[in-house]
Amino acid sequence: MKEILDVRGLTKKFKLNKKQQASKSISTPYFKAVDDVSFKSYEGEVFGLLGPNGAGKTTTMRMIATLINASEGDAIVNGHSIVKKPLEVRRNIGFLTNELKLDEFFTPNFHFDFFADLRGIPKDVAASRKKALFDKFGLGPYADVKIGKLSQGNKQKASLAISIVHDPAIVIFDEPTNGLDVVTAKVVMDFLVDLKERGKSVILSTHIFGLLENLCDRVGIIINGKMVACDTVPNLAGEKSLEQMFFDIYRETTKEAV
Amino acid sequence: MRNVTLAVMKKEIVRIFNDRKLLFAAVILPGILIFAVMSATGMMNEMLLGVDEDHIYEVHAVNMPESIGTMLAQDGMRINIVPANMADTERIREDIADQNTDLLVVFPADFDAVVADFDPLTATVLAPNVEVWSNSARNSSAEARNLVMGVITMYHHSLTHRFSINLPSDAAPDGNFDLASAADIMAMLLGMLLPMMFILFIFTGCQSLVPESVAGEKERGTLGTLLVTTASRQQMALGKILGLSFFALLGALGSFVGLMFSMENMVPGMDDVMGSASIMDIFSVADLVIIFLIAISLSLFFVALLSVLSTYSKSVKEANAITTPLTLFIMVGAMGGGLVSGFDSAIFHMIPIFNSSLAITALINSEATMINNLITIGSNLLFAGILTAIVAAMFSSEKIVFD
Repeated sequence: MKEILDVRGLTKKFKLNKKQQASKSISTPYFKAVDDVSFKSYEGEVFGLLGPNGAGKTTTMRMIATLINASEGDAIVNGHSIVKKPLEVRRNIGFLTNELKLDEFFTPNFHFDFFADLRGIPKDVAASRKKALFDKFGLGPYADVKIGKLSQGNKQKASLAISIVHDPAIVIFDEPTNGLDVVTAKVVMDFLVDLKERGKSVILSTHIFGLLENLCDRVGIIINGKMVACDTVPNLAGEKSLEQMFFDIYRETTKEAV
Repeated sequence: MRNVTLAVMKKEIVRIFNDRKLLFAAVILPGILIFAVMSATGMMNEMLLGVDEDHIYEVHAVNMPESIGTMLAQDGMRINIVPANMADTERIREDIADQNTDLLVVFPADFDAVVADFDPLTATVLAPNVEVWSNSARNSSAEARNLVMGVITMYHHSLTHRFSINLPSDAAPDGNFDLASAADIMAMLLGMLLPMMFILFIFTGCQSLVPESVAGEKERGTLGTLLVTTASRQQMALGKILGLSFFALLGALGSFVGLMFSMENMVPGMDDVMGSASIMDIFSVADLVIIFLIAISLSLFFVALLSVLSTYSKSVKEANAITTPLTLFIMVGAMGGGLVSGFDSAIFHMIPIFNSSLAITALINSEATMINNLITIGSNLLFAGILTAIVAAMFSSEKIVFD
């Protein structure tokens, strides 16, 4: 399988003022949200990132998507460095969170065309991609309905279609099913499977163990900013369930009772 | 590059057109409000300071001499003279204090004769005294006092008449010696109001649009969705600022129309003074083009300025809280040009807001120079450009966008 993503020692430090230092009981003037995280992902693979809130999953994903800068380390996305070629990286990445982040005053049609324009996609290419994606998601009848008037499921379908307007090699999903009803969550899961089958590399962050077990080829566990384990689900969990394995690792790493 | 700017600009324009509440609040409402507020102010002024046209002033007079009584009884004075005795004066004063009647005038007995006999050069006593009692808190009382004092003063002057002032002549058959044209009067009134109103309207138009569009986008998370694309921050910032400026300008135009329609209502009696004067008597087409260009450059400047503050804010609420106090500074700058004189040096035309106030005042007074107008427009655009670059840099700041 072709390597699509190579994360090499990514580290993110956030500056702290004295008050923040005191409240977090940290002696350094910065806080390491992500600490030397490395992993790879390949085409046609779903890679899951698992960890508690504040573990550093979203920060890691934002660094890969070039939304924020890495303090140390690098990530190579489809051959392009996030440090040296952020624009090239953005051309190769789709990024979506559970929150829709689409302006409710626009229609799916307008949004799709707008993002296609922003990404410099030729009009004919954008039109054929839009037709294919809208047909796939059954969005045709709602293409000219404002996002604010769509059902939650159709909103999510619209944002999924728009996130891959540029046909990226790698798609990053940060908690894509959080807060969604079961029907809409199923839409997202089917979409992830479809991406995988089309040879895309998918990076998925979620708290839902079932989703990771069913969808992910490999899982990386991040706790306190560090990648503490990374392997296939069977290799990681062995005889245990993924959930049991995670809490064992969490207890061991943090020395906290769960 | 141009496509991205145009795409973002189009998005902003479509977004506001689709948000009917925002469109109404930012573009249509300011003009309606200006008209309503200015007209209401005029009506209140009239109600507070004016007197009903049908009101007959009730003037109680003790020992009213025939000479003055005849003058007060003329048509158009609308005065009802009520003869009174000295014994009634205390009661009448109480009535005036209670705002039940208008005026009390007390003349010495045989006023005309006493005045005729009085010689200031040889007199050993004070000149005859006339008492005029009124209540300035009652409009009709104050107005009656003005009328009666006017007549008494005229009578007083007639006693020592040596020369006249401004009697009708061939050059001024109607006795009007004021050479100001209706357009001059309109220019004077506009000069006091227009620069300040013009600048404030543009600012308030921007203020109703920018926080919602910039801080709102940040608050809703849609800014992050934009930033993950390949479009440059500079292009996005420019597209946003151009799109929002378009609506700010529409809002300012609506406010301007509202102001023009409310002018007559704003100042009671203004239509009598101005006659048929219109705005085209003051401004040439070239002047209006300059004003339009100033409006465009100022809209861009305000949108860029508010975009910086809104990008810094975490929410629309915070953005509004930060930008509201700014109105005071804008107001000072906007008033400045109309109040000061001698600030025609180019350097003052480089100071945003103040420069626009100076330039419009100069246009109204026909003192504008092309170089100062160009410096004003250029300076506004330059500062707008600098602020746009700052917005772009802020869009690149992870602390500002994601904090």
